Amino acid sequence: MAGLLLQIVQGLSLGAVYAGLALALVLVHRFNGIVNFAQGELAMLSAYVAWQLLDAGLPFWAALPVTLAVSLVGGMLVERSIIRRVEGDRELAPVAVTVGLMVFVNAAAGLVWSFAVRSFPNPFPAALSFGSAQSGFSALGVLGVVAVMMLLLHAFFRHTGAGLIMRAVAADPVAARLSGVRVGRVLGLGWGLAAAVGAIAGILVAPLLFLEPNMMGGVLVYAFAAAVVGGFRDPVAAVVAGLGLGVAETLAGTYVAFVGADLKVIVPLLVIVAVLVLRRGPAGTAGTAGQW
Amino acid sequence: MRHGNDGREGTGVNAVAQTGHRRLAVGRMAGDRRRVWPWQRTTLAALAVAACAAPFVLEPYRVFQLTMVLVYGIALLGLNLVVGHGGRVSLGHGAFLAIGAYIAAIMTGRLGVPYPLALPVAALVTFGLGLALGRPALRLSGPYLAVVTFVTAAVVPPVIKRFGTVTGGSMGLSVPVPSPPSWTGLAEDQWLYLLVLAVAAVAFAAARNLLESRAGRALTAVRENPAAAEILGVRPGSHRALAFGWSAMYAGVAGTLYAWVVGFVSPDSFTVTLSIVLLAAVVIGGPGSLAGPLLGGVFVTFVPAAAQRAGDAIPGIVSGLLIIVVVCFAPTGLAGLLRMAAGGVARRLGRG
Amino acid sequence: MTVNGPGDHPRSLFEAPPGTGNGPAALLRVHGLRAGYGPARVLHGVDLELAAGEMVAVLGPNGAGKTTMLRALSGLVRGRGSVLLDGTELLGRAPEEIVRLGVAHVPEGRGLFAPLTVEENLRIGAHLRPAAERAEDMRRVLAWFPVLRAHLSQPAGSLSGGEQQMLAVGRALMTRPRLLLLDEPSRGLAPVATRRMFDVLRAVGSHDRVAMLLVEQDARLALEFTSRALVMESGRLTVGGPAGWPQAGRRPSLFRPGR
Repeated sequence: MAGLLLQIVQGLSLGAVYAGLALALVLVHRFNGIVNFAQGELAMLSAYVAWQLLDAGLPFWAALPVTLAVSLVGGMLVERSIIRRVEGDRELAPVAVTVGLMVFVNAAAGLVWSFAVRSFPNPFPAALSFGSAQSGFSALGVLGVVAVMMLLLHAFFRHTGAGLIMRAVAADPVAARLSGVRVGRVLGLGWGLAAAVGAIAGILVAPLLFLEPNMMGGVLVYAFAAAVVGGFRDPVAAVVAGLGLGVAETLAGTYVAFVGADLKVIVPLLVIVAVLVLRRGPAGTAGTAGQW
Repeated sequence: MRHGNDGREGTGVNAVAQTGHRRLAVGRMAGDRRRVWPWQRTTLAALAVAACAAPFVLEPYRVFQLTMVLVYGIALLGLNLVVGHGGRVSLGHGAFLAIGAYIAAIMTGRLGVPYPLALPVAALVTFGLGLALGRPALRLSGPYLAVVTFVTAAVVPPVIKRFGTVTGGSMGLSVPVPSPPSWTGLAEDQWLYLLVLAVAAVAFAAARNLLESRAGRALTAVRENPAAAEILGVRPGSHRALAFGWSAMYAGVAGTLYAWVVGFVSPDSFTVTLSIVLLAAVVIGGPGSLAGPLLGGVFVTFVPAAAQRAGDAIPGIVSGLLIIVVVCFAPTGLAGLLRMAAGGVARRLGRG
Repeated sequence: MTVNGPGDHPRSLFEAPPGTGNGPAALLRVHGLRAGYGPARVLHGVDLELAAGEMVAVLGPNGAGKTTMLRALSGLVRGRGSVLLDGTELLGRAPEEIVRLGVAHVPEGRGLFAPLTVEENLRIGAHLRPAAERAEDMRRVLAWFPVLRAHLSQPAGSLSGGEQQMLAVGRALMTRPRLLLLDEPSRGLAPVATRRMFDVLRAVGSHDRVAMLLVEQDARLALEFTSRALVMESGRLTVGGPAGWPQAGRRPSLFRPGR
């Protein structure tokens, strides 16, 4: 029973990482209608930035805000320099460009840091842990960080002027321009925020998976499934789905012999296909789409 | 956001207007019957002669490379139906290639079925899978096809590994290479090349016919303006799903040819990277043109391998940068650039 | 109530009274405005002058280019020619920059933020204004459209059509414009509410000296409230005159059904 509970907590912490990256995908898509295939690789890049800072001797809780700031600015720069050229285009150009970015960032990280696997320090104190409870404790830490991040995001969107303007742009970019909102800047800020949110996912998952340029590939697949559940618009549904996928994956991998470790990745595919088959009408128009 | 686009509100109107603009009757379209040198036909004929002569002139390794260009060209021809003509993105054609290849490997290698039989089976299975995947993904507006195909491409290698008793697992399977009938007197590589060339010719002709048929024109209409097409009675979802089925079939056929030519299949040959490289090849070759897939096939066969020699990270850097640069600055790809260059030369000749 | 916000321009003592539109005080001077969508030309050279505080109706058949003219003035459609607002060229500027110069556009279909609350919609309108004056502006708008007060925390999309129209106009007025472009503000409104809306517009126009360009299908109503009416036909403003001229029972032939 304790084993099951630990599995669930671990599943939740993995799910929190999926939820974080899914949230980043939703953020980008809400503001400029683009599915960012490079979201995982940008998060990986942020994890390397954090690793570099830690390697230089910074304590973890100092490296985290610096990394987030770097990711925010980096995301805005990427939007301004590359993505802006394809915003508003039909599907091919935006998808192709973010796929190109994904491939490029992945390879560039390999060039700079090599494809070798590195261990990433676990930010949560091991002193309080003994035996298997250690992983349980750090899983709770991951959950806590993701929860705090979501509360902060919610507060930002609900209770600040900048958040209000961003929600207005997400609701109707043309009406926002007619109210004097510089939509281009908001779209850039959306990318920056998404990159920062993704960075948290990357930094949290790095100790669990080890740091390497390909570490986010699998996470991205789960995050896509979670984002599809939310129609790429609904952040709450995406987060809940991310948590659920994490638990489902962990339990299925452990308790369903047929699935095992190899076949776990089929879970997100099944979820996506099920959502696509069951959903009616244009995605994202129904329900809680307007809620942050 | 570029100012010219004025948000998203005007794009529908612009699209209609532009489509209208493109159809303005000019030159020969308007009934100008002046005799023009048939550049297109001459080029095609020259290409056909060169293609048939190649295996008898080139050394075996070059013949093998050229065969691979054609194999990838067939897959890209299919991908181009979705990307170039349908305006949608698939990141899962590597998976269909894998399925076609494994059908060939299992049928001929494990079950001892004569090798030509694998081709129609692979075609049918991948067509069905494409339809099954495309139907739900294309019913909804939004980038779902790209996402679901990407995830499919990520899932296929682990699934192949999981069912190792049939697929050979991560060790892979070797495939008996089709041997030339003795009466032809051909070497193995020449026979394979001609076999692939024949399939490629049929595939190109079929794609051309498909695009000029009612279904093909409906597909273009759907890409240019889904709302208008729907008013005219074209159902965007089903046309796109059908196109995706055809497209998956091309990839499946290419997969079977791949298995014959390479003689070995393993899950690591069909990772997400392959699907991404295929998309890159369509974008770089020139989406929406018939020459694009061949140019893309050249890209897939030569560029990553050449870049690999400079380091593990270089293929990714080269492909990634090329995709971004081509999409941003030359959206018609290599085929478009060649056409512009040819146009320039023709104008200069005409003047001189 | 403040009359001259900090965004207002200094005015000459000798400016022409509103209604003449040709004096040196013309707020808006449009000359040879051409615009369209891709190769489809819609406007073929529009000339127009508008004084501060003047309310002008633009009438005309469907497809004549009335909406396109407003869209060109607010930067949603690229135009050529010349559009001077108080001497500043508007053409070539992005819509968000034109708003910042004092032009508010209430588009067809209202241009509200449906998932946002009524209050949030109004706050978006005011986000360019000095923080100290936003509360006062909000009070003003709610005094003009008291219906909105009851729905402040309700999503804009859940309002009735008429309430949405009031909110859209209210949002535009929150920007404290010098020029207000209105695309069929009476659409979806009940007759009583329409009169109320036009009363408010007329009061704001004369009190804050906001110039208004009003595209309207209901010619009778528009002519009753505006000082001048212009008729748009086939992308040109063909007839102008003091409001009231086409009244008196005789419907001008311009209003025949579209070709």
